[in-house]
Amino acid sequence: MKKSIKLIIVINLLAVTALTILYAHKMVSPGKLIAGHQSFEKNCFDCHTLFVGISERKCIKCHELSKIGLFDTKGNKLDKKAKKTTRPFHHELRDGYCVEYHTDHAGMIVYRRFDYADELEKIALEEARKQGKPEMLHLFRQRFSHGLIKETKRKVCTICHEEQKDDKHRNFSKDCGQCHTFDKWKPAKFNHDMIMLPKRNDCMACHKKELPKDIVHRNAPTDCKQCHTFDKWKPAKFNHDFETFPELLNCIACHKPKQPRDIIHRNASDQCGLCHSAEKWKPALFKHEIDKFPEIENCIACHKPIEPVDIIHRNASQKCGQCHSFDNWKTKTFEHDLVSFPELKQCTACHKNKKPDDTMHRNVTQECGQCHGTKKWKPATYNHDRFFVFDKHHKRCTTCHRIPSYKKPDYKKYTCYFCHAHSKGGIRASHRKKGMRNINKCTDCHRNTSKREAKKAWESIKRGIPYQFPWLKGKTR
Amino acid sequence: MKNSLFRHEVVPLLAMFIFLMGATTTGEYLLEMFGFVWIGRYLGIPGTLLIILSLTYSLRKRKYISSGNPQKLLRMHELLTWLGALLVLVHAGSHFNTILPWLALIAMVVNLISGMIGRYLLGRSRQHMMAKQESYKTRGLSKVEIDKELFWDAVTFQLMEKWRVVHFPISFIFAVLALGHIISILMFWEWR
Repeated sequence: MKKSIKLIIVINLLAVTALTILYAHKMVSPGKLIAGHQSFEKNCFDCHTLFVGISERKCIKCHELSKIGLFDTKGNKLDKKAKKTTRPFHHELRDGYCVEYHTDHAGMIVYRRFDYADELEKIALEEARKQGKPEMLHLFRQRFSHGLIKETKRKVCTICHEEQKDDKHRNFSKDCGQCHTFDKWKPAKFNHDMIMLPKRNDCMACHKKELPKDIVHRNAPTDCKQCHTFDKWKPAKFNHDFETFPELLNCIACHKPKQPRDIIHRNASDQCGLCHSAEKWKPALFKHEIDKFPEIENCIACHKPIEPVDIIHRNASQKCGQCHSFDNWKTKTFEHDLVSFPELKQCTACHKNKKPDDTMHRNVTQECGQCHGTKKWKPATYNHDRFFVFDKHHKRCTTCHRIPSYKKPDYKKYTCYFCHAHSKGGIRASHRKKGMRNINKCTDCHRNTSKREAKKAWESIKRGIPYQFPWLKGKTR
Repeated sequence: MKNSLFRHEVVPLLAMFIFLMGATTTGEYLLEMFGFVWIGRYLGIPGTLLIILSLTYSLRKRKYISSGNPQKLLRMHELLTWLGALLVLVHAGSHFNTILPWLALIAMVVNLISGMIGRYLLGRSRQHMMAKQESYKTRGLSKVEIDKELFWDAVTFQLMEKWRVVHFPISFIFAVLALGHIISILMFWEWR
């Protein structure tokens, strides 16, 4: 390399060095200082100490901690408009380290460790935007930490903050940190155990203003925790017993928005408690009696979806109560009179599975009502006297009903020949002698052991008039 | 022919420089996006250290040290200066507050461009030296030895000597300006 080039280089570098020393604020200063400090720009050492940093003592020389917020740096008292804070707090700060919280050089702001995600940064951005000075963001980016305050004073919040004098705060110490955090006033965690009994039960002493004015709370006791908890207002356990008598009879006064609008509740009274309990809406005990007449006559209006479509109910009316009770569907009293006549002649259409499979019933018709009643199966109303009156000689069924066999009798059939004669010819001959011809069945005339009655019956039948046996008079079956 | 020269020799140089600028922009954008802008303040330190480490090649070439494969050291020199320059560029960021660091930065970029040109010239020199390859072969040298000899021949070729006359003073200016910036930072740093 030529010597001349070397010389030029060295001269230039020396020139740069000289410029750096003479114009340090241009050559090495990381950006402009804030408005109030621009007079220090040309002399770095007004604030900086070589190889040490910025001494807070130099800051305090102008910004006396006890005067910050009250006086300007020249000692003039600040008027209300010039004050940035309502309560000055710097005079209670620990031995300060100002640059930790304040930045002077514009170029240093980007390197501040509190990042953009920081909540305070957001607040600063918002504030800068509100003030219409987004380019002056660094002025809004001041950070305050309560850690700066002397420990002994840190718990006396009222030094800087206004004392809260409302009902809630009246009886508490000046250490807000017991409930609130340094960062935010809300949400606060209040420990109610700090209040001595019995005052702890008198919520109204502090929360009177917060007591809702609605009907629910009108007669509520002063001890809110009977329904609410200390931690949360909701969910609450409401005890209806607190309410005075008139409110308890008028549920709708409080629960109006929740009143169902369906057909069941259309005509319901305001006393929900007639069906529902105070604790739960369901299950409810529905009392049909509280419904008005038209609805009670028309069960299907409410119960349509559960109306059975089987044969029993096919022709049933809408008055379910004729058979079923309000309380229980299965406990029923079926009125056969409600069934139309054709159905009444066909019992097995409904009672098919209940027809006994014994020999007595094997050949019976579908008219169970001939023997049985509609209320009860037993005792049956079968009247054997219509066919023959039992007596001491005729007391066992199988005495007469032994056809086809003694062990398996057919009760539709009988025989008299087993005891009274052994052939039909003999019987006919003996009757013919008495002038009785064209005899058919024995029981046409012999309905008991009385020969006199049998003769009367024969005389009547002979003339073509059905004989009315005396014991059957007035009986239909 | 012209097209070929442009494609083979100019385009790679331009691409390397554009890539460096792209990486710088991306790095800065990522730091800002994730809220780590403050990290950029400290990236000047590793950047400077990488550049200092890359000077191993210069020491080897001037025989202040004798160990190390010069070819590998040159490749390392190129890589480390590129990475160091990247970190320093991200450190500088897109803000302009003061003059001295920017003078140092400009010197660094000029130095980097000079280095890239040197890389190109070295390639040209090696092509000239290819003729010598045959004579090395006839002298019975192994392939590794031939490569080594060719490299040194290329490095000491006249063209390279002329370039070095420019590259060294640029490096020197960059070193002095960077040192000034570092000293000023040390002077005004918050050491407590």
